[in-house]
Amino acid sequence: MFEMSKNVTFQGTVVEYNWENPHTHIIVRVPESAGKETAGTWDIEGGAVNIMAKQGWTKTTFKPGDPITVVGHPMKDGSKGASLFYVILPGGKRLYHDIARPNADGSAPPPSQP
Amino acid sequence: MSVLPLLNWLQNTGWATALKESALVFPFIEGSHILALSFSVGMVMMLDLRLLRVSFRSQPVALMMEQLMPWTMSGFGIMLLTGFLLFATQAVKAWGNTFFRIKMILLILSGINALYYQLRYFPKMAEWDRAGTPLGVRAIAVLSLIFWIGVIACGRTMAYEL
Repeated sequence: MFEMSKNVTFQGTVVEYNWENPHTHIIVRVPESAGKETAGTWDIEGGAVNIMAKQGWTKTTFKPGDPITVVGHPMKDGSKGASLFYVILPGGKRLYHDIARPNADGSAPPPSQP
Repeated sequence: MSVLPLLNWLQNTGWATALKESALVFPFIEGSHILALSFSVGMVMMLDLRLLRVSFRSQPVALMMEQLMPWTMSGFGIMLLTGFLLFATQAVKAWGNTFFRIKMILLILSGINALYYQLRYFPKMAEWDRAGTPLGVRAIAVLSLIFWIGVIACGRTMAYEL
C-alpha cells in the first residue's frame, strides 16, 4: 500500500488532526509553491492512539491551522496519502510513528532516502 | 430522508468520541468483539457441521442445539453490543464502506436463514434428528456457513477500506 523505502517531506498547514482509533490521521495542505510532487491535500496516516501516545503524541499535538513539516511514505498507487514516518516540531524535535522508533540514544534512525 | 445526520450525531456523542480517543478501552472492545465470535459463530459452525453430518455425528441435533444455544446467544449479544460501539466511533465512514454494507446484508440473510430453519424444520426435529438430516436442512447449514464466513471476511476487509 505504501512505498516504505521512499521518504517524502510535506511542508504545509494542518487541515484536520484526527486523534482517533484505529489510526490517527493528519490532513495536510501543501501549497502549490512546494512543487509538483507534494502540492495538494494529503492524508497522513499514523498509528492507533495508544501507539502514538507512547511516542509522545497527544490529542493536542496539532490543531487545524498549525504549520507542519511531516515526513511520510507515499501511497504506491500515487493517490494523495502517506504513512507517517515522523514530524519535525518547531523546536526541531521529532515525533515518530511507532514503526520508526528513534535509536536508543534518542538520535534519528538512519535516513533511508532523502 | 438521509441517515447521515443521525450517524454524524452518533459518532459525535461524548461517549463515542471518548471511545475513539481512548488508548485501552477501544482495543479491549475490539478484542471482545473477536472473542465473542468464538462463542457465537464458532458454535453456529459446529451446529452447521453437525447438520451436514461432518462433526458430532453420534450426538442428536436437539441435544446439541439445546446445549449450545445459551453460548451462541450470549456470544451474539456481546458481538452485537461491541460491534455497535465500534460502529459508533466511525459511523459515517463505516456506512459508506462497501464491505460494511455487504457484511450487514449477509447478517440479515443469515438471520432469515436461521429463522426459516426455526419455523420450517425445528418443530419437526424429532422426526428427522436420528434418521438423517433432510436436504433442506443441509442447504440451510451450507448457506449459514457461507454467510458467516462472508460476514467475518467482510468485517476484516472493511478495516482496510476505511
